[in-house]
Amino acid sequence: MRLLVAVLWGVLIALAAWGLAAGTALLTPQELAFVLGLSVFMLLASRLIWGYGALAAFAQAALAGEEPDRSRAENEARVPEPERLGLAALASFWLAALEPYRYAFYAAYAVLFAITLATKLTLPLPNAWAWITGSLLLEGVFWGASAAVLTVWALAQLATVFTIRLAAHAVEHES
Amino acid sequence: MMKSRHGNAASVLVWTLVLALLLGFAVGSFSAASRARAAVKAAEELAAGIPPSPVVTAARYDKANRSLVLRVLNPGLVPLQLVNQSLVFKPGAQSEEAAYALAALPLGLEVGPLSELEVRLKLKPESRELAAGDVLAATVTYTHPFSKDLYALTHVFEVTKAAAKGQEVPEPEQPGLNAPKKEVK
Repeated sequence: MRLLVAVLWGVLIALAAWGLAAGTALLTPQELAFVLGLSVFMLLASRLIWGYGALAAFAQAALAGEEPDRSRAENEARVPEPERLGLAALASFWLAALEPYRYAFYAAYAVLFAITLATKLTLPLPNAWAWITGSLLLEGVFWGASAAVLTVWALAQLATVFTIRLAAHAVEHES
Repeated sequence: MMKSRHGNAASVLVWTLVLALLLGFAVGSFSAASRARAAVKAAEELAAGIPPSPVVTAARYDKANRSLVLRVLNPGLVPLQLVNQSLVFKPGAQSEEAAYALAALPLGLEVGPLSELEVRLKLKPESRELAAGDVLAATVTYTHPFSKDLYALTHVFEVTKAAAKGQEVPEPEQPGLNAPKKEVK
């Protein structure tokens, strides 16, 4: 049985590798640049995506009146004695802890945006064709990064909305 | 419940959807443009490998310079070298000039890719003016970068009344002497 599963997994991985190779072979260089930008920025954003996703789930569970798992939140929130905090405060500290990563991520995106725009503004004096293709490759990286940024932005908004609602909920119940 | 100024989950979802649609539109057109560019480049590379074949689009008799001027079009993507010219003159009923032939006078012209050039073929020096009914068979030899062979282009020009006055005659309006005759066995 284990052997069968291993063989099936092997076949699946081989098929995926084949699909990936065939897919990239059919792509234009600009589309490959898009895939490159998307994967690099997704990698940069992974901490934010998982963080905001878990925070949104945590806050949503707390809003629904369930008792969410505090262990991850207590690890993420940078505050002494997090175990003494309420759920809303814990979520707020967790949200604040993700802020530096979000700033660094948006900064990288802003730098990429500035460089892309700068290549669009320079004159193609020495070699027009190389300029066009080079500039377009950078533009492809930029569009790929934009898709990752949209994902991060949406999750950050969602996590913020749930955290604020949780805080408002806590304030109402205290009073 | 206290109303939050940070909106709610539904508005975040709607905004994300709108932005995702815009981004998808931009990425899709970027990808489609890159594909179109790649297709044009591939077509150009393909066409650049096809040997060019010159086409005579029009001809005229230049009375002052005593020459036959052919408009030669190079429809290919590589240059053509016109090496030399030959001319066979066959007098019509109104002509007082005897038949003659000029062979292999050097031309040394280059017709660039996708361009047209006026090629001046000198008639026999001190010959009489062309009259309606005369026939000139002009042959231009040429080479192209893909072969060391010498190719020949022959254009038969029948002098009409208009052509005798020096008017340019486009190829389709010329008398059909260039069309191949049906072979009789």
